[in-house]
Amino acid sequence: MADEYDEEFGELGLVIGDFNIPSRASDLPLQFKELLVPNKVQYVFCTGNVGNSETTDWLKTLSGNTHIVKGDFDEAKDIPETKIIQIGSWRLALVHGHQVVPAGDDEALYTFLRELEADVLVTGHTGVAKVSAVEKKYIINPGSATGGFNGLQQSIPSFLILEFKKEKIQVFIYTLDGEVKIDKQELPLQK
Amino acid sequence: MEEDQEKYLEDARKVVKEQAYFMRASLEKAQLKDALRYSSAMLSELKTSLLSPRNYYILFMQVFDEMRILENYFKEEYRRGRKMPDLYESVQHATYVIPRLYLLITVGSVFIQTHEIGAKVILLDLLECIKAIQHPLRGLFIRYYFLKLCKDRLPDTGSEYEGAGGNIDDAIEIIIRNLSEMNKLWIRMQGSKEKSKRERERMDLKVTIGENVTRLSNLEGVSLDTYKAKVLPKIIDIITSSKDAISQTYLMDCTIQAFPDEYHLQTLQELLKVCTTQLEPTVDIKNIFINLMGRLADFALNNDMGTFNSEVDIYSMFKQNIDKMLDSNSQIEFKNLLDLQVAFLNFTLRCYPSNSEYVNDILKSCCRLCERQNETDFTEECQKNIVKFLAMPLDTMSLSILTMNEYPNLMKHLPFQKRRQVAIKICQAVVNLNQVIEDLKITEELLKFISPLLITQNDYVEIPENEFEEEQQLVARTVHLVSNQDLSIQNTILQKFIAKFKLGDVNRQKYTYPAAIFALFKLVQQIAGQTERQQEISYKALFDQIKELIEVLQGNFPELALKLYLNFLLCINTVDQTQEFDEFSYDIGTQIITIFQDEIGDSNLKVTLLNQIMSTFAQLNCINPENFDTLAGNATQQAAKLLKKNEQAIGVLNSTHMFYNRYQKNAQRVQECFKKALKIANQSIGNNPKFVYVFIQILNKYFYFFEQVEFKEAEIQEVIKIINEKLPKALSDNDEQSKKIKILWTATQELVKERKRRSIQAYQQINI
Repeated sequence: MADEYDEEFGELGLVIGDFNIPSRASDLPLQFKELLVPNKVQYVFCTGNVGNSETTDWLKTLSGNTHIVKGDFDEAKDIPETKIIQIGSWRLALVHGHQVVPAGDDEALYTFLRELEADVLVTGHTGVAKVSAVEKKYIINPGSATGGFNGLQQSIPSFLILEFKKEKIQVFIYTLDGEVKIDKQELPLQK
Repeated sequence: MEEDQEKYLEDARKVVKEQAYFMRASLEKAQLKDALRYSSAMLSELKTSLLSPRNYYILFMQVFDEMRILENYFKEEYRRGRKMPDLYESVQHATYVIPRLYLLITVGSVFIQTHEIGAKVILLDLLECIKAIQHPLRGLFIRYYFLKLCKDRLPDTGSEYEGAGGNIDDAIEIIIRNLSEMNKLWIRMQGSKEKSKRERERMDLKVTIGENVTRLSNLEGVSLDTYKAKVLPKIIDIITSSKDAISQTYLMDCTIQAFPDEYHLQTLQELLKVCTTQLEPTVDIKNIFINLMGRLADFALNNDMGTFNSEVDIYSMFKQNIDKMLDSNSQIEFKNLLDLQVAFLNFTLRCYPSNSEYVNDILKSCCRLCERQNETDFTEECQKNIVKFLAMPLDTMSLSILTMNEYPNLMKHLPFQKRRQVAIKICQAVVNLNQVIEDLKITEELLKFISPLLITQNDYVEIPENEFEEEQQLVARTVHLVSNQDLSIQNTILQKFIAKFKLGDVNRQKYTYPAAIFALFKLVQQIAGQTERQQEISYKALFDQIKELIEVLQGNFPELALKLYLNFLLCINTVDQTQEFDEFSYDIGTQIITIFQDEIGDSNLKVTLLNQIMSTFAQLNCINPENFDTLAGNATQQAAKLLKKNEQAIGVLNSTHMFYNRYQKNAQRVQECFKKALKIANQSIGNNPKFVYVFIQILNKYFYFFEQVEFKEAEIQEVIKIINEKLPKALSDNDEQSKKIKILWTATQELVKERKRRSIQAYQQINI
């Protein structure tokens, strides 16, 4: 049943986006390619701005539940701008983020989150990985998978792995600065 | 004919089965004379001239199996005390030659096991006797039978028959003689008519010949030295004296297959010489070479490469012989020589992975070869090979391969489609291997090679759109591999790319320019990140260039240009904290507004883009206050001109962020925006109660600025009053829009309640 989660081991989701291949980067970093292989996660949430169909196809091979939303540089006509995905007790909203003013602003994103009645807003666009809590909700950003130009600073390649449990989400933040570093953060469910 | 063959075979097999049955029955009753009579009858079926070689083979195998039973009986006879010479004698009473000889061989094989006479004596005697069968097919098989039966009766080194029975030299001699005779018979099968049919028939029987070579290789006494001194020369002798292409090819293949690769390494020179100079012109030498190279490459990779290199210079041996073939006036087809070159290159890349000199030498040979040909010689096959030739080294060697001066010479023999393929393969190799492009000379060569992708060449051929996109995206990806510690070199290399991109048409520039532009953005940031500024590259020069590139895209791709300009502003923003480029940035901002106003028609797109414009402006610190105010004001005006009223209201509402952010603190402008937004909202709420949604959004925006900008409490309460008034009507029909309104309103109330609870000052007065 969707609600029953073994507290020991939950479903995994990959959160990744802002590849911008080939306009801002030539490829996903090799170290990431080696980590991200099919059937390791049950869900893929892509924040958009993939850049080419090859990478989009690759994302779809990683899991049977791949969700992609439209970034400001995505040209395909048939991708939605937002998506709502329910996983157990968690309601996720997925949006690229270029639609929100100001970009990357937690307050503004929080309003967006409330309009969608989500528990977690998964968003990109800024090119910087970030996990923040606003009131009782969460806003998470995987940053740019390739570390392409993001207008703010020299970008570092990053993505997130989420482990879904009934009462919390365990977030693993993967960044590449010479070598792969993993940080953890826990998001307890607050209703 | 086929049906006849089937019938003949059927009949023969029936007889064999019958006679074998009687033979076995007689043996069980220990009636040897009768058994011999029946076996003779059985063996007589092998006298037939009716069967095709393949069918004769089938019959032979059936007889062979039955003869084993007889052989075993002979063994038993010996153990029971029967004298072998007697037996040897009695089988010679068989009337016909064929049965007689088969029986003789069978007895002989048992005789040898008795050690009463030396193995060598009997074997040589048998060899003499079977000379009597001169018919090619029948002669072949009787010698095959001889070989099979005497398998373990040879006076090999360390065998029980060594010594009195002979030695390794004798063993070799016997097999060689058998091979030589079998080969002659095999060749005679060719005849002069029905060439291809005969060839097929011969090929059906080739394993009978090959068995001799296998037997030789299995001899314990054939060490490397023996092989070199005695075995190989004799085999070569047989090969070269035959003048039959099928035989030569097959025997070479057998020899290479049967003996260990260590032996071939030591005799390579000899083997290659024979192949190139002493074989019939119709022999496909290339396949022999390719076979050898394949084996030796596998051997080298599975064993110590050191031995491979130190003992013999394999590369040179192959090179010399291949070049000899190229240069001789032989009739070897161009296509085959090219196949050979490709195989040789593959071999060299596998065994000498980083030796670029070798690669260049092979390249030179290949060029020489191609120069000699007419244009019409370059068939599809040949072109494919040249493509392979050019692309193979890139998988293992670095980009330095491109600087070999022979490279472009090969390209010119290819038509556009193939040149394009090479270009794609080169790009793919570079991208897949993440090769850093840091050398100017290599860049120039690389760009030459991928020219088919960059410009529309004279013999251009249209390709489907999705292929074109893939190809251009590949080029774009290559740009991001440009990197050098010395940023001015990195810039020079980028400039080379950009110079080429400028020569392409706008359909290519749609892909190549953005990549170049973002690469320049990155360069700008890298320069800013340096602790010691390099004086050679000026921001101004880079900025001017970026602007120039975006302008080119503006005509056909205004939306793309607009977004690129937005990122451009952000780029300038990261390096210009002193508004040094104020005028320039203001100019870009104005361009953005102009494109938005004049070139963007779709109203939904306008809403999204305007949000992005405002978001971007809200991050800028590189424009002086006066200019910034003008720009932000323009953006606000654009918001007021959007298609729908609610979009106008929200657009103006979003403008607030341009005036109040990390760098701007213009509270007055913020308040003006709110007033404007409210005015628009008030105008619309009359006809449309659902407009209350905009009021709720305005309310939330008040809360956004609550702690930074001062608002009149009355103003906010007024908004809340309107909301409460219009809400019931708005929610009455419970449609999609109503749901949205309800959700946001509930969330807003929750927010206020929560923030009141947390004793945040500003919220205490709000009466919601």
